[in-house]
Amino acid sequence: MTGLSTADYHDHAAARVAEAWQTIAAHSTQAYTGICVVCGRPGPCDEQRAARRKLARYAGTGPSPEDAVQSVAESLDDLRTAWATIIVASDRAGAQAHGSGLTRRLAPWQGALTECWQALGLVYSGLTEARRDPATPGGSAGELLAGLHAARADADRAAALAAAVRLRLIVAEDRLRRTGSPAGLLAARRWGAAVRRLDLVAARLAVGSRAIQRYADSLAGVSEPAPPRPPSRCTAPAEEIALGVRAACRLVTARRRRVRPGFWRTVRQRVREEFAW
Amino acid sequence: MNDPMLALRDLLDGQLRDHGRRLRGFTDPDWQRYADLLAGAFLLAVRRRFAPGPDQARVIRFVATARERYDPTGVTLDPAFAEELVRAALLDDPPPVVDAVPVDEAVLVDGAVPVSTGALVTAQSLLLLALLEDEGTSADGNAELLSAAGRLVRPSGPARSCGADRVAEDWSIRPPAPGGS
Repeated sequence: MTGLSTADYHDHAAARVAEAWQTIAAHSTQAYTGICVVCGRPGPCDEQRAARRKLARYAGTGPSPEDAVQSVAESLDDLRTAWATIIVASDRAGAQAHGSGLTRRLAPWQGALTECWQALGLVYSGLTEARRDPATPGGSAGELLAGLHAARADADRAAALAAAVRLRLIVAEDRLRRTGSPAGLLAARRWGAAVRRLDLVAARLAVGSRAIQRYADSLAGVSEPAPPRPPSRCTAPAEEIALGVRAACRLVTARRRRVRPGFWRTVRQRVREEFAW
Repeated sequence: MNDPMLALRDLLDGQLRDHGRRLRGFTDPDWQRYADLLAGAFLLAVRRRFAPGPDQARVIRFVATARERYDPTGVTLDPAFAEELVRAALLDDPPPVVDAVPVDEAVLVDGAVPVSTGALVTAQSLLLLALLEDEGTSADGNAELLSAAGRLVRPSGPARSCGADRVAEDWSIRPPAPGGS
């Protein structure tokens, strides 16, 4: 509540709205460069944002779409922190619970880790979509590039983290495998699976980073050289090529048998796991 | 799509029986076209995954995981050769390792590792499969990659376009100016 009368408040609000409109008109963002014409900073500048907020407040329409998008962008840090916290918590709990039979109950924590990653991805994709909307003119080229840079930095940090965890898991897997006990072998196999999952995470982060880099380069006007052509035509004898292809097929088939075992092999494996527990 | 492309697509999609069935009907030009497409797809997949640069740790790690998956005995896929193959695909002007010769006249890749054509095709196939598995590409993604590879490698017919502009479009880059080199 204010101490102003209704008429005074109306005059006050009208003056603030007029000021806000003037600020918005003056601090316009140049479409070509994405720079505010008054401040020289990537637009929309702080003054224009403040004016828009003021306008929204006096117009009684609540936060503008631009402010809503900005608040989501600011919450990315919280999400990253949450992800890091879950990793630390899961790590500590896993260390304490090892061998006490609690490992299975901690499985949802691992799920939470994945969920957090998915949430982060969804927030990023939502931001991208929101900034395409003409009603939210906050997405200048500078901001987009900065966002892409932050996303790449996140991916690199996550990949480094995954690589460090992978090394620890490999050492632990090797150590447990050499104990020869059923429980140790089972734990080693599960950690082996975790290592492969981390490899997958690192590979997909690398592909995503590369795609972001190409996109950012194209936005910045840096053209990537076209992929070189492989040698014009293969002139090797067909028998040699056939030998190579068949050798590859044999290895792929053998791998498929290892990865997707038949029914009885699966049953034997399950029985072994039950006895191990 | 012609038969080599369909056969390679079967391999990438995991349809090994169909792949073997198609291979049985191959003629000599089909085998050579198959090797061309494989080289092109490998080149595109490597450049989609790795950035050129001095850091080789990612390449080494990838080759190690590929060998772990497809060559657990460690005999078939030579790590030095496989890493060299990936590194060569990242160069602006890759050495012509595809134009290899029969087994008895082994090719020296980077002046160090003797390689036969068969070993080269095996390595390219396994590394390509590992790259696509890591990416988690769908069947449509595999088909797109093969289409791009088909445009990248020179078609066997003399009157067909080499498709440089379409390759550039695939890579989200500007095609060269018509009068440019």
